[in-house]
Amino acid sequence: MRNIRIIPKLEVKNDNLVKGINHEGLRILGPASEFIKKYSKEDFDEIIIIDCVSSLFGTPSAFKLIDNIAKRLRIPMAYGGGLKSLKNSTMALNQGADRIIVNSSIFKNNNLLKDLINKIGTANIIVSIYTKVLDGEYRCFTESSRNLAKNNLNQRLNYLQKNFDGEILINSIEFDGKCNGIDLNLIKILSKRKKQTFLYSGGVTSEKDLKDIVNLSDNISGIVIASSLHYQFLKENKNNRKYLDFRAIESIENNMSFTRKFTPKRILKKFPKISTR
Amino acid sequence: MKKDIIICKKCVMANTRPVSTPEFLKKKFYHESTRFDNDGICFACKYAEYKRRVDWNKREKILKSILNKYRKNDGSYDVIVPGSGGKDSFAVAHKLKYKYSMNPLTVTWSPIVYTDIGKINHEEWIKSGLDNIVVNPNPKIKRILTSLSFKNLCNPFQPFVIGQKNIGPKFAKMYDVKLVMYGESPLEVHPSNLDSFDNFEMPAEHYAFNGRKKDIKLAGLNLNELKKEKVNIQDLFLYMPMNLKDVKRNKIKTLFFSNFENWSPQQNYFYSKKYSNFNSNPFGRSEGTYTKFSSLDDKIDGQYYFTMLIKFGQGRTMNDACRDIRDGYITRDEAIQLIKKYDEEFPKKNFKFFLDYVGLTEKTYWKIIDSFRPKNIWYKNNKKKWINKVKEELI
Repeated sequence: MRNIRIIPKLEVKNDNLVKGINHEGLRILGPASEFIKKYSKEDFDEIIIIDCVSSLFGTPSAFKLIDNIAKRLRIPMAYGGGLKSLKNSTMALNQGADRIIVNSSIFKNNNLLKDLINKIGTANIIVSIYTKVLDGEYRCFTESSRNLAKNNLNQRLNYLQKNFDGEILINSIEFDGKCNGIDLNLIKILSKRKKQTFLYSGGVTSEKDLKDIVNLSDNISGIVIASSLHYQFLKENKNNRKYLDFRAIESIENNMSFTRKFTPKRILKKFPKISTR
Repeated sequence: MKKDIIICKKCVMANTRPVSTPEFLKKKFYHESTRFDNDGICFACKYAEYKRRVDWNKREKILKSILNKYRKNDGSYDVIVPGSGGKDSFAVAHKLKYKYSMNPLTVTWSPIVYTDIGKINHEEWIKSGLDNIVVNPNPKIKRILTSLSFKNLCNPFQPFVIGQKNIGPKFAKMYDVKLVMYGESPLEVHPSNLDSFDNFEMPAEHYAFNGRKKDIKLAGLNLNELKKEKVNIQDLFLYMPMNLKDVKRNKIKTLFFSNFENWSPQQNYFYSKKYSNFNSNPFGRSEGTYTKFSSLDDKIDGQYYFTMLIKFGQGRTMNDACRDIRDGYITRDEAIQLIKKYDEEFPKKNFKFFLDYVGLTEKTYWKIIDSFRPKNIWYKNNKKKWINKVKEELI
């Protein structure tokens, strides 16, 4: 079996971990640092931190948070959210991020991607794309999936094929946060683009989802998981009020419909060959 | 209207915003201002503070005892739930049926013009296991009233609002149901006084009337004036308020679900997602705001919020941001950033459609819009661009 990485993704707002559904809603799950501490102890390959409102709100990137996280993290961290310039991106790296994640800015400014590649290096850049089907084709969205981009997924991937040979993080908007399986059509589309390497995010909830991704594609190098891991963690800490906004409790319970245990240990034990360090 | 602009110190609501008043008495664009306490905090924020002290378990017990009082065991409907099938009405009707074992009849006042996503969400709502009646008022009359209401009140949504408020009690009477359950109480958005926080009922004057018929106004016109616009009294059954005596005789109780649980639109969104295929806006955020899950079903929605911006200096972003601040999802500073970015964005997506629907040219549209800009809110700068004083004050 080929190598594939398992990567927890944390969407943060200020100091809190938040999680919506279809990238809508800012449900507070608890202090981001608690989740980071937990995931840091597990055998994950990398962790993704996204400031999910920076770009939308036009607020500065969470550099202070990166700094705090970097100090206690034992695994590499990729950071994204509001990185609109070379200066910003460099600052994120200086604060302790190992890789940066960029989205809208590189499609708006043709030179930025070139500059980033020259100064930071392809290996330290992840290009992120939020996508969903609209009128029969996969379209792209920016600013926490709120603004519809002119170019469709195919056009964006073609552009990247010419200009970028690093990893591309594909976020399925439709499957996000539902804990109800993955976007198989999207994965099939990605698997046909043999020259490119992807990270997939959206709906990964079971071991079957992981196996499907591995079986369907040989160019997905990392599987990104958010809600399923966060809710499992909350389930284990059900009685600890500090993790939850009190209003969220009912819906968290509602979201725990997946029956099989989906813990980091279990994933990594079941997929020893998949998750290679 | 007050001349000085006051903005709430906790949220971003200005005193230019109105409190909720009966629609069918409005002759001109006139409103009673949102209220503030002596510390400059709006009453909606005071209510949000009050909500934190409420014992919600106790409230649920009150709800259960009310529901038990109205529950029927003969298979007939025991509660009317008016709604569009958006996230809020979804949560209310679904909870009443599946959590509290009531037998609700949901009633939908159809939007002025459905969006595709509005239709889909309405279907998803019903498919979750509910009986539903769609009320389709005469489209010719609806169109005339919408157009007049835009011209006379700068509010294309008034016929919809009237219909929405009327259908609950009206259908209760028709189906011999004594209980009507709406979703969000005005207390959540603009309470009129500090003593009303424990008031669970919708005041009957919002849907019923005891006065003279000649005092009733729709789209700013009385019945004689409407006749000249080819709208006759027999066209208006659904828009006319009920007789107050009928409400009393039929013992109709009209309540808001938001008084019985710790109401939060975001939580209703998550609830709808859990129990149905509720869709947020497929095109991303809605024009004029940063959210993508509210007011999705009507092609006129964008114009409703834009006319709000014209009349009160505060539009759709402000609306959503106030809510999110009070619910603790965003900070006031973040709200100001969002208002800067989106509050004055013009809803261009369905603009041509709207002009065609209300029968106006673009030039006349702007003439009407500009005539409704209050002088204490808007002025033109030296480049002849309209400047919003509320926004200036806020930023």
